Amino acid sequence: MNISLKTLRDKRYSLLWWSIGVVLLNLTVVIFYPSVSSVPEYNQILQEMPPALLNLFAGNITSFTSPEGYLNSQLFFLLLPFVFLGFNLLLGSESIAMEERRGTLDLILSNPLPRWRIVLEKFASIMVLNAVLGLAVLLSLVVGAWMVDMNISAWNLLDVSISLVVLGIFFGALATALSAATGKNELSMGITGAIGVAAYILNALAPVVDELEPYRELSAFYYYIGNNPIVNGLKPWDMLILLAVSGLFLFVGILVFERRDLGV
Amino acid sequence: MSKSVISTRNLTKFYRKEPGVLDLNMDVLEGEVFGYLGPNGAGKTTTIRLFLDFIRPSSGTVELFGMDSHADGLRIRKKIGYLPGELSIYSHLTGREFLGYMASFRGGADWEFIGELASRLKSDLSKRMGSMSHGNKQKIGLIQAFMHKPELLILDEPTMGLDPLVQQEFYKMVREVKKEGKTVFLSSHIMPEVERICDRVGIIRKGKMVAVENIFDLKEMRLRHLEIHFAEDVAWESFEDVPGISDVQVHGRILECSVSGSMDPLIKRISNYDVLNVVSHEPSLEEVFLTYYSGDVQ
Repeated sequence: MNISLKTLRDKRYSLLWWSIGVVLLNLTVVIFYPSVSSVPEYNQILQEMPPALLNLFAGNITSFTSPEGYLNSQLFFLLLPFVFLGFNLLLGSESIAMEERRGTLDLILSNPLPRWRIVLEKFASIMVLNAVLGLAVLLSLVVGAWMVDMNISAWNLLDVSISLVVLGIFFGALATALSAATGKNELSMGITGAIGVAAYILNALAPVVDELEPYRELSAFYYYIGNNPIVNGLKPWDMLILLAVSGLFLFVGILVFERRDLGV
Repeated sequence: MSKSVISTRNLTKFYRKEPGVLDLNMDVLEGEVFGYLGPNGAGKTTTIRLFLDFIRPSSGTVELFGMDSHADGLRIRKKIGYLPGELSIYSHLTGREFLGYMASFRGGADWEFIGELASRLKSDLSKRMGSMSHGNKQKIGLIQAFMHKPELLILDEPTMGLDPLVQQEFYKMVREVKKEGKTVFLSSHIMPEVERICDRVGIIRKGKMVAVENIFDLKEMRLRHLEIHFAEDVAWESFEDVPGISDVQVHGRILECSVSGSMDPLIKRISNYDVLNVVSHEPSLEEVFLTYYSGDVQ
């Protein structure tokens, strides 16, 4: 057993509950699709709503009744990324800090094991957990779409699910890096959460607020959904940028972790 | 001359502005059992965490096996078995799972040897650690420290919470590894324990090493309390001038006093009388400790 496997084992019930939550959320949303798509008037709401409000809660969509527009506005724009933000904020923040607070980090490090390896093993398990949760998103939507005859291809759903998983990993890397660098669980959660919400708002409002427009590319959400992957497919560059910045977070986190004193 | 396994030079660690340890110089020699004695909060755990590279010195150096504690940390920790002072555990793991996990960092577990240690310490490895008493967790911690047969054992308050029988078994284990030529560094605030198993002892107080002594010398140095029963009443004046004697009190036929250094002058003096009984109160190392402490204060 190594650190990654043990972390996966420790988190198996947590993962199960998160997956059940995501599946129920997705199925509930999808089941209401037929009643929305049969009423084209819903699209008028799009015209009547103040654009800032619409953008803030549903994204820059053009159709509410198309499968893609419906899923984007109801799930992929706001709810699911925040589910992944929360999932990763919790996992990443506790990764090093909880072991340190409990004192088990001392025990692990009394072995001939470098500090960076603990961080990377913890992060590897977080990536796997994200992939499984992402799979729960994908499968529940594929099954849900089939149940209500929603006209959307599984490939499109795969693309947006991958993008979601990569966004989750990004926040997981940020929280893990903060946890390693500071050894403080709550601090890591707070900063990761704040950055997540700020990044969301920046990306959501940039299309309608001129002052924000030039900064949109600073938001992780822009790389996640700016290209609208459920329609246009994955843009490899977007994913690479998120992953590269994740790597940078971890690198800096490890650098500080290697140099600092461990707390008791 | 055996070589140093642990060697510190002017080792200093500040926490914010508080000194954790200050100008620590010590050498722990290969094959000895070194006791690190001091009250809680004296800096024992800080010193040990410096040895293991969990925290870094503010100044000074720590070498283990002749290697720098930080630069060669991995090679050093290959040779170390460590028991933390406050053993933290994964409460959802059983003892066996926990030991397997810890052993996985060292290339796997020697279950036969672990079983042997467990039966010696009367430890039940199948129980979840969260439901264990402090003493039972401590046993798992000890097995964890001994299980890979390290060259150096660093044990922070190893007998805390152990029942007396298991303590005896632990003392035996320490003597055995010493016989195999291995080195043991253990911290303690329990004097009789250190007296019993250590070859040398370092006394730390408020982050400073007050003294490093052979246990033998330390015992020599301490005060002995004597109670001498005579056949008839004696006078206080007959004893107060005996060299090395203090706290002389006479109650009828009984003389109470403290002696430091040689007993000879007192024995010679009381041989003039009819002595019925001599009671020696075995004083603890604590008193030696106090003499060091008070000496430092003055």
